[in-house]
Amino acid sequence: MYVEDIFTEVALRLSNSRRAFNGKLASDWHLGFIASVNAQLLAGRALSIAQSEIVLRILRTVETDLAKDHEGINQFLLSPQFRQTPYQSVRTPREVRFMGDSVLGFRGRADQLLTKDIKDSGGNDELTLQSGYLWMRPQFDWTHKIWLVRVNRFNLHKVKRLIAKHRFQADAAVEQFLQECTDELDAASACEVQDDVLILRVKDNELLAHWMLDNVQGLSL
Amino acid sequence: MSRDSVTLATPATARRLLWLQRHANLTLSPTIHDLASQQRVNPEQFEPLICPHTRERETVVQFLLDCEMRAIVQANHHPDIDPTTMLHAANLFQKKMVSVVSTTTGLWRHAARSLFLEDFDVCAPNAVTGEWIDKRRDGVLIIDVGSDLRVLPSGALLREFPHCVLYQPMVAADQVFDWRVLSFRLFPMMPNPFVFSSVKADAKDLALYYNACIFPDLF
Repeated sequence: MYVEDIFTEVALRLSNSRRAFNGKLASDWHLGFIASVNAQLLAGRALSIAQSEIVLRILRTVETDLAKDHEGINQFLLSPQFRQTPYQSVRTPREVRFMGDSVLGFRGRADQLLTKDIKDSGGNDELTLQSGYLWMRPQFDWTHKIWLVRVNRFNLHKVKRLIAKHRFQADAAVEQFLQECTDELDAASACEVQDDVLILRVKDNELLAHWMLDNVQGLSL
Repeated sequence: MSRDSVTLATPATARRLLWLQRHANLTLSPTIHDLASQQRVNPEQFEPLICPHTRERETVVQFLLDCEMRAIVQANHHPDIDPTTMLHAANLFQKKMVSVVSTTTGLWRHAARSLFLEDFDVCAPNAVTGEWIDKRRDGVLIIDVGSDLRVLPSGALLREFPHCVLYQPMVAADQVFDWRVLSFRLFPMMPNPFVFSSVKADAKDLALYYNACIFPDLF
């Protein structure tokens, strides 16, 4: 008998009835986790150490219910045996870094809520609802596995909330960039001529910045 | 939020910045004001009998030249701007080749003949071929968008011609296109003006960013 076998049996009984085990595992989180780990086991993949700890905790929760069909389960759970040795879990810290050109890069273990919040951070609700606003939509860089979010006046506060809510570790450069963004709200852009070259320093005006690059064919500094 | 960029300091860019300053929080150095006063169109460049000088014509032609003939002009906003003025602006731009896509080919041919254009061709929208584009893309293209959005050429054609003006002749008031429909095709890389104007500002304040010449207050 292995932990994987007992856990698969638990998952099977729960799939037949949500109220199995007297409703001890009826919460959405339990059902989601058990279904996800069971799918992983059925695919022949090993558990991580963190997953195996949670699996054992779940089995101990329903120990008395399992004891009817499995004699000596109490002893077994004291010294559990796995068919495949659990591998070392990798903990990816949630980090945000300044990538230059008003872009922040978000990296971390993704979950649905985080992904949704990052996608929503592109602009205000009115903007993101409408199509054709690609330049403002957060992009996922598949090579480096990071979300790239361009910060502007429309999403500055959303980005700040995102960092605080999901506890992203921000370094000094990010803090400085966000502070500059806050200070630059409604600041005046400036333009001057130096050695036959026109230098435009745009502040808080996305349209003017785009005009310079896409319409006048200027070069970004 | 802050982005620095550079471009060559030309009188045309200086003048465009002066126009933009009316609608943007933008500080310009005195040198830019000096630069903007150079190389302007002057009244002598207008032919008194064929395309007589008016203040409106001078301003719109100056605007088109400064935008390197990539702009939007609607005659309902500028009644003086007829096909002859458009061709005259193209001629002043010093590109020898001038092409027009229009359903009213006769009108444009007549205007071109009066201006003695050296290399002129007019083509109906459904007769534009790849070969024609290859032959004419180095010159100026004027697209007469008429009053029917269905005959508006594809974005691909607009991308083929770096110097391309969308011109809508005088039409009934309810047939005047929203300039944002045209600008989105002319500048696909720019933020969608419909979206931006819904949250940022009055749509007319944004038109200059998209080279849309729709302002009576330009004069």
